Amino acid sequence: MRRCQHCKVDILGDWDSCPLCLNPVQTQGIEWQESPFPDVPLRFHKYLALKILIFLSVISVALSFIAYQIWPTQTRWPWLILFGLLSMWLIVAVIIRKRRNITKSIVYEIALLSLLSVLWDYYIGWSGWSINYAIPIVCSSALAAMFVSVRVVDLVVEDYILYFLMAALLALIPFLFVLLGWISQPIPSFVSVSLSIIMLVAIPIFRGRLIITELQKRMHI
Amino acid sequence: MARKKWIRLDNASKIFLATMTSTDTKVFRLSAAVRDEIDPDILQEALDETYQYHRLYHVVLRRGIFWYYLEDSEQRPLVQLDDQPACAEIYHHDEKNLLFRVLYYRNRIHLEVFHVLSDGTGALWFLETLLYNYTIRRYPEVFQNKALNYPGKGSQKQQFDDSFARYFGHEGEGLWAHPAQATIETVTRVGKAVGHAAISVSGRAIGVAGQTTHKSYKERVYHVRGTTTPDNRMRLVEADMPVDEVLRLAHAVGTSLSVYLTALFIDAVYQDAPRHKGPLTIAVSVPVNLRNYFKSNSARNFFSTMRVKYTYGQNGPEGDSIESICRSLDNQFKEQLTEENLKKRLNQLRSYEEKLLIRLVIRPVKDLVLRVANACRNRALTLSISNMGRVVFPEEVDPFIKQLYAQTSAARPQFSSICHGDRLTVCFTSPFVETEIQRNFICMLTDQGVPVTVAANRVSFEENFVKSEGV
Repeated sequence: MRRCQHCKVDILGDWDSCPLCLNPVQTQGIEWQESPFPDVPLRFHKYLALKILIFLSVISVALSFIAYQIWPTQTRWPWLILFGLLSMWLIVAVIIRKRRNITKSIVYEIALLSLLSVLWDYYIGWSGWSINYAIPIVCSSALAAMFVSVRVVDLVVEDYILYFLMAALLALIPFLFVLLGWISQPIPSFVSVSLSIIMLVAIPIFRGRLIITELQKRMHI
Repeated sequence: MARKKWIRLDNASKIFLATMTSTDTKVFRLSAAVRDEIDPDILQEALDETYQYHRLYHVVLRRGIFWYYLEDSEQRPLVQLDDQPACAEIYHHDEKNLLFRVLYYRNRIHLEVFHVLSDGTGALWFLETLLYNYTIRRYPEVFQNKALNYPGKGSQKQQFDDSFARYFGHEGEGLWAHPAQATIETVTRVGKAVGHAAISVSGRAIGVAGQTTHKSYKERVYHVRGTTTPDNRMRLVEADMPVDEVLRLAHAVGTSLSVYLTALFIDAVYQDAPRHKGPLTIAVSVPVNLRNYFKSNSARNFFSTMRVKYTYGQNGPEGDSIESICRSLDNQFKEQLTEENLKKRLNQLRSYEEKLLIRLVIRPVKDLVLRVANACRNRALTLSISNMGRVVFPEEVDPFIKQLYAQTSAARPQFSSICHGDRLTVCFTSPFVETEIQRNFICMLTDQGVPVTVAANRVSFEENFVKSEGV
């Protein structure tokens, strides 16, 4: 076993210097004893792809603003690029953050995509495509996606049932648009609402008890 | 279909979740060195057997709207080779992992536990059963015709007991008796706590948690500073020594082992601290096992912490010898460790979580408040220690276990000591690369003739580099 003369301690492991006082220890002709701690290499997160993408996004926004200053046009297109990239990053961020829980991620995406579509519709000059098409289509496809994913990923019913319910409730929102007479193209909304109603009827009938216990668990005060 | 069972968190667990960070993962590790190299297959068998009877360990942690909760899980724990930094993160909020892991390396078995699940005493019961199951399978020839006593504590139901809820809480009439009064009280208390928090975050240290009355500490509590490790792993220094020699030193100054070690730790920090700013206070957080005061067989958390301190340069002509530090600590231990004082403090802590208004606050906000309260408490602390005391295993398996070690993730320099047979192990954990405090501590022992064996992990580029060059 190696020994530090300064600290008067025996040292486990093949240390060339004392881990306590950092002075050299005699290594010549002395057997060392195995350290109880494995040598774990230093580990860092390497998000190189992410860094490159952030770099490219920032650069393209900056360059487009400079280009716009040199060659001004009627449409303020650099702003469109900025908002476009911001929207993309928001969507990606949610997917990354919620990647471990796919049904939760779908619920978050429904809300985010719906909000973004309304904002975009408003920003480009309101023509109503967001509530006519975007939101109902997002809701219906999200419900379909959820239906498929819980079968493919093999999830436990308790874990996804509440998110299923939430998605179904969100898909009911286009019904509000129809009632208020905001929309000109009702077909997508009706599809979304019908899907939602099927779910909202099916879930309590088949999984009613489960919903109650899940709510008790997650809402206990 | 069987419904998953679930239980609420206990009082102590709540603070761990709010305050865990990538450095201070709130994971602790109990290790045992056994006679021979570990056989992973036999260890897995032993774990399967042990797991079956420790139902508490079957849970995963989930997040609700108002509180976290523990939920039953069907997973089977697998033994792993110890190839991560010690006490690495166990809980991730979107992953449903078991809250403990069993590792092995050479002749050591490690049990790492997320503190939300259990405390040191609870985890020790699990380790004890695991070691028992491992030993009788590893050395079948020795145990063939012997009658064996399976280690165990209390009933299966007692393991799950939330002893905080059973012993402490609002005294007298129930919570609903005077809702108006309860509400007003809650508002003023929370307001006060947050107010205190805000003051002490920006200014001087004030002890909020840990005191029954909101006393403010005017003294300057010293904080150890250092270089954090490059990838946030902890610096481990493990010191192994004969317990009799240390006990002899402790008795020579008329005190107990754990007070003596605490005094050495305080002095080890002082030797390295700047002196020019006037009187310096070093404060230590010490856990108290409540099972010693309130009968409980719970495998869950049932402990509290107390704060002891020592201010240098105020002891007159006698000076700041180890002996006088010990005497001061002894008095503080005696004063704080009475059933009545513990009860008073824990009743108050429990009463917070009984208040309807607090319960109705959503979880992220609760976490934030707890984090702020904890930050103030940390400002009043220099060090932490934890003495697990002497551990004796069933006599059949005891000879096969050479030594025990305890380590815990740390936000500040900390040591955990544990004693088995005639050996005492003191394991230092620290978020900093520097080992000066550990050196001071160990040299105070070796200077008095205690033989100490030291092991340390490698935490920095330089150390890893020197290693690869040396090979």
